[in-house]
Amino acid sequence: MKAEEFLELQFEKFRLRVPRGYWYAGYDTWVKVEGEEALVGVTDFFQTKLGDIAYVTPVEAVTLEQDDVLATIESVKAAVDITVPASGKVITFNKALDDHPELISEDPYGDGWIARLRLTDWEADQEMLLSSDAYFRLMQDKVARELERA
Amino acid sequence: MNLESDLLEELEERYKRYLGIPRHLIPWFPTIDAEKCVGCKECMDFCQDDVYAFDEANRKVYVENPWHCEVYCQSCIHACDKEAITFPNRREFKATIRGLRRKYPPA
Repeated sequence: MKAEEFLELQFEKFRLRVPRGYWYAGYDTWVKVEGEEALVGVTDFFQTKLGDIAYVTPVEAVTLEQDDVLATIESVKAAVDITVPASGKVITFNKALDDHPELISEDPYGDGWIARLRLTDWEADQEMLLSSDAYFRLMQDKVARELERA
Repeated sequence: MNLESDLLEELEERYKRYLGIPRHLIPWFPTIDAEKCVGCKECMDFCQDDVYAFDEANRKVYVENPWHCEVYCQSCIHACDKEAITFPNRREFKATIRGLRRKYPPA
């Protein structure tokens, strides 16, 4: 990823990236639209909080609405539910995560994608989503909150 | 007395709004079934936002700060072996938050 393609914030030892051209949910997942389909995954900020990921368990549903649970990620720290930022029919979950869940930590916006969807309500879904600039501001607030807790 | 302004005043700055929507208007927070809660405090350990507190008299956890709850986070459910924690139905809740979004559009 070239430097002009993302916004970046340093948080302790982590460099938290927010790529341009993606849409983001306040609950730290992203959607990258490709025609009528989209990839979804978690943000850099989210994966940083997870720690080492042991496995990813997708939901069994094939039709999802925005804000449904998409998967549960089990990490060394805890089990957390991932919320899907767009409505759609699941075309596939990322099978590479079965053997390599660490891809989510290593490349959350690329090889660590979680599902590919055929979008079903994109226009309405967009109303609830954030641009990369808006999510970056939100992430700055979240990081400040984390630092306050530390 | 204005309940809304009192509530807002009491909330710490970081918990006042979710995507520009006043947080106290968003009905997303856990409910604990006191019959099922055994007071193990696993949910308290999990939640970094101090949503939960412990009632020493009853030896049970209760929801002390509902507006601290991260909207759409429900992962504390996994911390509870007794299945004592529930959250609103997501699809019903979605209609509520979309309505609020229209009332409080992004700045």
